[in-house]
Formats: sequence, C-alpha cells, structure tokens
Amino acid sequence: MRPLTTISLAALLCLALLTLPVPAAEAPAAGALKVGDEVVLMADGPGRTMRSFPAVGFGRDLFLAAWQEGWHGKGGGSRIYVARVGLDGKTLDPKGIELAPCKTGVQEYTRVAFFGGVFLVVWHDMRNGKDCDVLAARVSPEGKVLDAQPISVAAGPRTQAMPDVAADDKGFMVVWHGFQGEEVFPKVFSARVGPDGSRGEPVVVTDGATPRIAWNGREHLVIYSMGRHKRWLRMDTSGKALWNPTTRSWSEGVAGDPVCSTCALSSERGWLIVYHGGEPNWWYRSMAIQRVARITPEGKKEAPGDTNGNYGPKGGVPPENWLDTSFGKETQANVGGSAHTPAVFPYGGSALAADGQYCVVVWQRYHMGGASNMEMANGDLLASRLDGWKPLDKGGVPVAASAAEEINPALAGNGAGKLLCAYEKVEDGRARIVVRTLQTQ
Amino acid sequence: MKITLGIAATALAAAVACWPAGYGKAEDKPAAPAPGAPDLDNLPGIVFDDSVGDWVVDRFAGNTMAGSWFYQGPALEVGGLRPNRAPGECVATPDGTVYVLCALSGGSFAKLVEVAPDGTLRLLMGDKGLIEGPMELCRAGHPIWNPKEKTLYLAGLNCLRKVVQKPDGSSWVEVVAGIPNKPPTPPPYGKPYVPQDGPAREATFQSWYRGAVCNSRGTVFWLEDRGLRRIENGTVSSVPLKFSEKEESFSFIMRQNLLSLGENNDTLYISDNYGAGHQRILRCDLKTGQLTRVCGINPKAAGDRYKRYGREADGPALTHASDNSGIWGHYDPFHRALWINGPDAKRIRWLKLDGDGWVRTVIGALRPEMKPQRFGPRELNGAGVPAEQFISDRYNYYAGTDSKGGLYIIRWTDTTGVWRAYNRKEVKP
Repeated sequence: MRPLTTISLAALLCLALLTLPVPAAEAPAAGALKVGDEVVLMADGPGRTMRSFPAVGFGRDLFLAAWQEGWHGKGGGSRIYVARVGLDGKTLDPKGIELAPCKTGVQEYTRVAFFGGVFLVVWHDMRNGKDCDVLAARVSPEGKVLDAQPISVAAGPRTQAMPDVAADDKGFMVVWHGFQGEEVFPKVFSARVGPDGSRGEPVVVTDGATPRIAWNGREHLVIYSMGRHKRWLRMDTSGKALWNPTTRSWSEGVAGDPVCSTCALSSERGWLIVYHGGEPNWWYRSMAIQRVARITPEGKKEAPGDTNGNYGPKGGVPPENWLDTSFGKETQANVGGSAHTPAVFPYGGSALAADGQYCVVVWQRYHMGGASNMEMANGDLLASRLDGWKPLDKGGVPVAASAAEEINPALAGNGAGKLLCAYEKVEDGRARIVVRTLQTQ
Repeated sequence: MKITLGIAATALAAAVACWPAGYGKAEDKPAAPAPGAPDLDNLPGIVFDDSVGDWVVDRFAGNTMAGSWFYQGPALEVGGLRPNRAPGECVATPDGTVYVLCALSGGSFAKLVEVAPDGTLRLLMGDKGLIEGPMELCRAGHPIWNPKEKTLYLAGLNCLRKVVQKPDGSSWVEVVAGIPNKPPTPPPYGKPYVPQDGPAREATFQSWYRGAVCNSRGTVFWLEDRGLRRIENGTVSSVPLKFSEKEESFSFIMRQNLLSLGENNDTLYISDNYGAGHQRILRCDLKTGQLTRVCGINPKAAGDRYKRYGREADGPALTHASDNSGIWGHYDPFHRALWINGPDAKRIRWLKLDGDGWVRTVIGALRPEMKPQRFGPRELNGAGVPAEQFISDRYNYYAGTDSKGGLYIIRWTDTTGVWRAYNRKEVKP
C-alpha cells in the first residue's frame, strides 16, 4: 500500500471515530433531570449578610423552605424564617415569615415535615444564652404560623440539640440528642408531635447524637453518630428501637464521619443514605467520596463497594455506588504541605428526596484553593437520580456551579417528578438562601 | 572460584593486618559513664521529668460523643468543635477567656470560638463573612492577644486585623496591616525576593500563615517563609536575621504557629521544623537578629543521625533531643520553659530555661513503674486524668498556655475538643 493511501485511510478512520456519538452512559442523561432558575428567598432580610442551613418540606402542592436568618454566634439573634414556594419555584412570601419572635438568644438548625394539613418546623434555640432547647411550630399551607408560642419539644436543663422530624402514618416524629442528669454523653430521644400541636413524652432511643430520621411507610430509620462512626436503627412509631433478628442486633453501623443524609424508598425497599469520605490532609492520603448505600427493610447496609481507606478503591476502579470522588482526578501542589492534593473534593452535606419513581440526591463538591491550596474554597452542587444505590446520572447534573460558593443543600419532592432544592449561596462573604426546582419526569 | 577465593583471602588478610593497627582496641572505646552519671550513648528515648506524676488533664471543651455538627452551649456538651491541628491555636486571656481557632487541615470551615470563664462556649466568627465590619459578619482568623491593648487580633488572609470594642458593647473588625487577599508580588525572574515593607496598610504578607505573636509593648511579629516581619506604630519592617549555622534560611513545612514569644520582649523562638539539618528551635535575639539553636540535634554538627535524629527523643537539647517530622517549641512564662512537641509527637515535653538543658517528658507517656489505667471515652471526657495516662495512638499537640499554669492540648485522633493539663501541686483547676 502506498503511504498516501495509508494516511488517507487513517484520516478517514479518525473522522469516523470523531463523529460517533458519545456513549450515553458517559454523559449526564440529557433532559432526565432539568434544573430550574435560581430564585432568592427574601433578599433583604434582617440577617444582613448572614443566613444559613435551609430545610425544605412539601405538602398540599407547595414547598415550605425554612432557614436561619442572621448571625447565630455570640451577640447574634438568628431567627428561623420560612417561605412558601410554589411548584414553579417562585416564592409566595418574598418578605419571609418569622416563625418564633424572641428577644434573646439564637435559633438554629431547622428541619421541616408535613402531615395532616400542616407543616411542622423544628429547630434548636438558645434563648437562655446558656444551652439549647428543641422547639417546634406549625405552619399552615396558607402561610400562617399556628403556634403563638413554640411547642416545647425538649427544654430540659442541659443541652437538647440537633433535631430532625419526619411524618409517619400517625403524625410527626421528632428526634434530637440531649444530656440527662449528670451523664457525660448524650442520648438520642424521640417524641411525637400531633398535627394539632400536642406533644408526647420524650423517649430515650439510644446512646448517640445528631440523629436523622426517615419514614418508609412502615418504620422509621434513625441514623445517628456514635463517636467517629455513624450508626442506624429501625424505630417504631412509639419511639422504640426494633430488634433485628437477622443480625441479632439493635443497630448497624459504618466507620467514618457521621454526616449523612437519608430518605425512604418504600416499606419493601427500605431507605437510602448518602455520606462522604475523608477530609483533606497534608499527605493526600484521604479520598473525597460522596456515595450511596441502601439500607434494607431489615436494617442491613447494601452497596457494591465501600472503603474508608486512604489509597483508593479496590482495583483502582470506583464502585458503582460512588456519586463523586477525588480519586483519579487532577491534583495540585499544596502550600505548606508535602504532597499534592486533588483539585476537586466532594465533601460535606447532601440531601435526598423521593420523586415518585426515583430518589434524587444533591451533593456538595468543593474546588480546592485558598492559602494552602487544600482549603475547600468554592462549593458546587450536583444532582443525580438514584435507582436504589445506583446513580443514574453519571458524573452528576450541575445544580449550582457558579463562581460563588453554593453549599448546604436541602431537598423535598412532590412525589410526581417535581423537587425543590434550597441552598446557601455565598458571594464576597454575603450569604443568601436560594432555591431551584428540579424536574425528573 | 579461584577469583572469589582470592578476594576472600585478601579481605581476611587486610582485616588481620588492621586489627593490631588499633581498630576495636579497648582503650579506643568511650569511657564508661561515671557512677550515677547518665550513659549518654545509651540514653533511653524517654526521660521523664520529676514532676510527671503531678500533672493531670481535664477535658476543657467539646464532647467525643456529641457528633460532628457544631453547636454552642456548655463547653463540655458541644459537638463538632474540631480545633485546628496546629500548635498555639488556643489563646487564653488574663480574664480567663479562651479563644480557640477551629478548622480542618488546610483551613476549611475555619471558625473562632470563645470559652467564657463560666464554661459557656460561643461562636465568635465563622468561615464565611467579610474581612472588615461588625465582628459577627466577619470571617475568622488566627487569634493573637495584644497584652498592651488588651485586645484580640486576627491573623490571616494576607493581613492583620484588630477587634475594636465599640462604646455600645459591639465589636468591630478592622485591618491594621497588610492588604486582604493580596500576597506579595513575586520578584522578577532571577532577582531576589524583597519583602514589601512600609506603611502597614500598604505592606504585603504571604498567604500561608506561619505564625504571629504580640509582645507586651504591643509590637506584632509575623513569621514568613523568607523572614520575620515587625509591625509597630503603623509600619511594617523586616527583622534582619543572622543565621549561625550553614543553613541560612528557614525550611518550614506542613504546620502553622511556628513563632513563639520568649522570656522577654527582645526574644522570640522560631520552630524551623523540617528537613535534614533544619529540625531546630531557634532563639531569636531581636536586638541583633541573631538566631541560635536551642533545641534539636544538628546531625551535621553532632552526628548521631540515625540513632536519635528524627525520633521522639529526650535528653540534652542540642545533642540528644529530636522529634519525628519536625520539632516545635513554645514558651510558657508560668513555668519558664519551652514546651517541645511536633507534628507527629505523642508526648508533650519541656525544656526548662533555668534547668540543665535537657528535654524531658511531662505528658503522654507512662513511667515503667506505673500501671496503665483504663483510658476510654469516659476518661477522655472526664477530669483529673493522670497526664502520663493521657496517651494517644497518634498525636498530642501543644495548643497554648494560660497565666495560671494551664497547658492546652488537642489530639489528632479525637478532634472533638480541647484539654487542659496542669500540675496539681502548683495550680488549681
């Protein structure tokens, strides 16, 4: 064959390869997850430049977003505000609604659920200036706060903090952690709150802290921290932990930072949890991972691969349940350190919600920078639909990926393909709470 | 085979020939130590201080079981504290308030918290916010106490900021030196680096924070990879440094807060803490700029590189004391001692300035005659734990001192809080 002919054939082959379509599995499924426009909730609130930790619930064809407005540290007066958001992603309460006006202390870490025609918003409140109590208030779909004085869910003498709430078939179940008597360590408590505002007696669920709760139609999953581990247990509607005869245990667990999100699949399929991997360190021996696992109705963890190791997944191939990882990504020299660190670092908060067909997850991914080049400098949010523990939108669909920092996502779905994601957007040190709709069907 | 046998025979002959020449002769061995004197050639790695049994440790802030989300309240019930894994991030003021900078490695999620004398822990500044403005709207920085002005300063972000108390009780943060987020302009290729000194608000500081301190005259010293800066009367100047060893530059790595005040206003200590020959704690005479090694084996001068250098070793400071990935020293005015520690140190040791020049272990190792006690989460969160039982499978870090003789400690493996050690014969909790 003459050289010219060889070159021509090679060029044709290259051209043919270039014009081949990219395999669908390698790119986000176009059109499967549509992200709406960004809407700012209450641009000129009393919190000036400080607002954080949004939460979202859904009920009666609208979303209720809640957040802490204002500085929550010493001398601060952060307050929980709520705003209703329509299915179109537009706010119905542009000036926000202050939930529990109070002259003293700070209000933090709000969570939302819907049952019996009302939203229940829970938070912890440091109005005595010394320790936190868990309070709650109901909000009607018309935007009216139904409790002139907050419902006192847990207001004992010591710290009662980090509440979460889920709706089940009887009403609301609130969980939190608190300190009793002279105990050195906290316990997880639960208490029922009715849609009429009535409160049941607190029940000790287990030793532990920072509980998260999700109802799968038959039982609650309570996931909580135990030292440097996360554990979970199944709980009935009376707040009693359920014995697992298969594993002969009350709870299961996995090592690693307890921060995670959870939502229910169904009574037959259990729950999902999303949790992150290690944090940055000087030797780049810690991998960033955002990953999914299914918790079966029996309380067993199901995921194809997992690791808390420092050197990469087995065989060098990230398991299918990993949403995102720093493993194998571009690296950059860290400053003041001795090694290279990844340029992106999936880490921190995530949010899960069901859309009727799938669960959807929104997770954080940071770009590394700052003075050390290993500071998580700019957070972005990505989303994927999940079929059990399997991500369907490989690599993630960007929800918020601007030059501003977009972090701390919260998510709720209407069960028919429409979801609302609320998050913090920080630019030049000024934080706002913004929302976007996600459409899956 | 013949060649091999030949080589072996030659080697044997050479060895025999050398023997009478003196190699291994008894009179060439070092003399045995005098009775009662320490055998310096076989010194153990740990040399306990006489006071080791008098030290106890209390949990000061944070709770191992309270989870990784930060919230406020009674200091011993707070979750998610995560003190910055660096020395000197706990700053105690004369009124008993303790400031703690918290962050992940590299500086993510930095927050400055305050533990009031009544034990209430509050957030002062978070990781998001303004550079200047009302304190609650500003982002955190490394805390420095100005004893002359009785004011908190904040270092970082290429600048030095000051917390000003307003008449109405509110606090305001303002930049007093440097240009926020503006690092020094790099020199043209091939030209030496010249620090950009001058009027304080026009000077530039390097991005990666290495440490800053303020003496009783209100003068701030700011350590950089290429020198030491002085911030005084609205002006920034460079301190001309004179190295007394061959290595005429710093070789810092990995850590921050490598600068410490000294026993008077003309003395500082600099922990030049990594690299061959660079594992040294230097006394800086500010009048002359002279840097003098006061701790850390210099393997090039003292030899013994493999026996003790690069290990957590006690003993005579200049010939036997060392640490693993670096060594650092911070001055404790109450005890007139340098606390000796390092990035991989399990023990907290000291070099008493009025002592015999030895580094000795005070915290984190058990004397051979003592029995190990249970040291679980309950002890880790309790009070009065014997300091020699306060053992870490990774690292115990020096974090600061207070005027009552307290020593603040953070731990690598339990990132949830701060501990305070003290000599129960000297001070009360």
